[in-house]
Amino acid sequence: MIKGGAIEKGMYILFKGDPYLVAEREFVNPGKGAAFTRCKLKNAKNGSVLKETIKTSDNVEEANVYDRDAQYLYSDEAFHFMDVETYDQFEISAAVLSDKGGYLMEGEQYRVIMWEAEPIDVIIPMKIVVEVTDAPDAVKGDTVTGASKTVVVETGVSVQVPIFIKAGDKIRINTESGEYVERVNE
Amino acid sequence: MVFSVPPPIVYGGEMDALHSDHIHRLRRRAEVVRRIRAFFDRRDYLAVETPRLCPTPIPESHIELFETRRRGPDPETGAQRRPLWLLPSPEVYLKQLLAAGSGSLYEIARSFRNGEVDGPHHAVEFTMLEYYTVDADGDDSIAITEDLLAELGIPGPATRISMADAWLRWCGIDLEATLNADGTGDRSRMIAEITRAGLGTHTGEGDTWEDLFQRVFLTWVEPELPADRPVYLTRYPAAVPTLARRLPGTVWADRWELYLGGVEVANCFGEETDPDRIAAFFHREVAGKTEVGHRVHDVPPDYLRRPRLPRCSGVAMGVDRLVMAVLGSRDIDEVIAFRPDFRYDTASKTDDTKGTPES
Repeated sequence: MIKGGAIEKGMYILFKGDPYLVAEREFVNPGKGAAFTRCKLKNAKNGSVLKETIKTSDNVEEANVYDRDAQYLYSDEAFHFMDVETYDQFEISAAVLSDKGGYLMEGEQYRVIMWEAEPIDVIIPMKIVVEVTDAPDAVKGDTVTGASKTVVVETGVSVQVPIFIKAGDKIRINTESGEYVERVNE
Repeated sequence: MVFSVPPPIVYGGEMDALHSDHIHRLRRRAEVVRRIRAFFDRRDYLAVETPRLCPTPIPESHIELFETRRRGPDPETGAQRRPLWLLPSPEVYLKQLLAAGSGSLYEIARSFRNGEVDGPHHAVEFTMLEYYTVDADGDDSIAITEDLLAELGIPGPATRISMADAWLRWCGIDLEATLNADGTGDRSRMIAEITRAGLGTHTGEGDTWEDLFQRVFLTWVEPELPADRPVYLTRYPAAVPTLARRLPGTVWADRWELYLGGVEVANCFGEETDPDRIAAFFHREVAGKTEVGHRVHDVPPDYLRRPRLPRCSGVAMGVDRLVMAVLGSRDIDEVIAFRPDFRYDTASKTDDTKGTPES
């Protein structure tokens, strides 16, 4: 048990019987009233997001999570992984991974978060370098500063990029915001 | 919004640019404080300085105090002296001056709250402006506060919205339906409204009406308040115990809070002047302190019974947050000279991790 005031971003807590990832956390202390921790909680089993406010003095149960290293294989309706030690294959549903599914690189090794023998999350780097696989040509004469277009990258996700980016370019993207960071020259 | 806390500013080392930005902000802060004083001096409010140490603060169950003690035995009894407490606001003394006939008055006072979580909007030692206007109510204080904000260059126009309207608009709950005619909160009707509105907010067995009120307000209503202009959130439920008077014939209190940039900056009461109701509030808050395990202190005996508090309206405004609003700062560390309790040795190591607001 921890106190509501000890909740940290990135922690897993048990709430209404389910494990939740603390996606956002802010302390609020009304001038006339008790102190609270205002959180956004993401259900680790189905990906649904909950807004909750917990008294800093209330008891909160931490979820007993552990991790295993696994290689990402491929996706169909779900995302398929293989444990690198046991070679066991397992899958994680698209709902659980939500946006993260679009940033997984086939063949790469990831840390998978487990709760009661179920995979509930995958840790992905904050920034990754990917190849642009599909990019529309820039419209001629379009010189408006800050103009952008949408391209598709090798992991399947769409990204807003500056108009000079072409298919085959490598770009760095932020996996938390989904935003383009820079072109990578090799 | 989630923030990481930047390290406090530490002098010494090679941080000249950072230092000069900080000094520049402190100059602008000094200008804000000068203007506040000039504003109230021009209006003939009495500028006072009351003690920070007090043997008998106003009890507030949610506020933990710093405790200290004079040396030596009590000269009358020979026993150890009673504790002194660092005040969380100058209210306890200002109201005694008002009762003694001071007329309208103000103070810019250092204030102390133990148990605050350090963060971008909190420090355990901070600066509070309190101004009391005699023969005035909460609406009059809004007019005065609007003039003050204009004087400081905070752009309006302000939005004024009642608590009931804010709840209807942002969480679909009929707040009045959760209140009894006598102004008290009805826990089961609050739970029914939370269910009806489909908020999914958890309701524990130990939750009181006030717990649920705060939880829904902080989760669904407060984050939605407009951040691009001043907002006066008015008419709090009388069921939230404070020293605001109840608006006659209603379940609401003459109380408002001011939000700037979505952050709570000031609280106003059309003040309760009935000594019996003030005593009842003290009694309840002392019980509340015992319940949450805070140290219980002596309370002012027969407070404001003779002489009584005149009809008046009081505003308590966080000066640090006000300066943040004027300067567009997002962290209180940018507008205070020092945070009082950081450790130099660890703080200096974290200079390169100067936090930026996340998301």
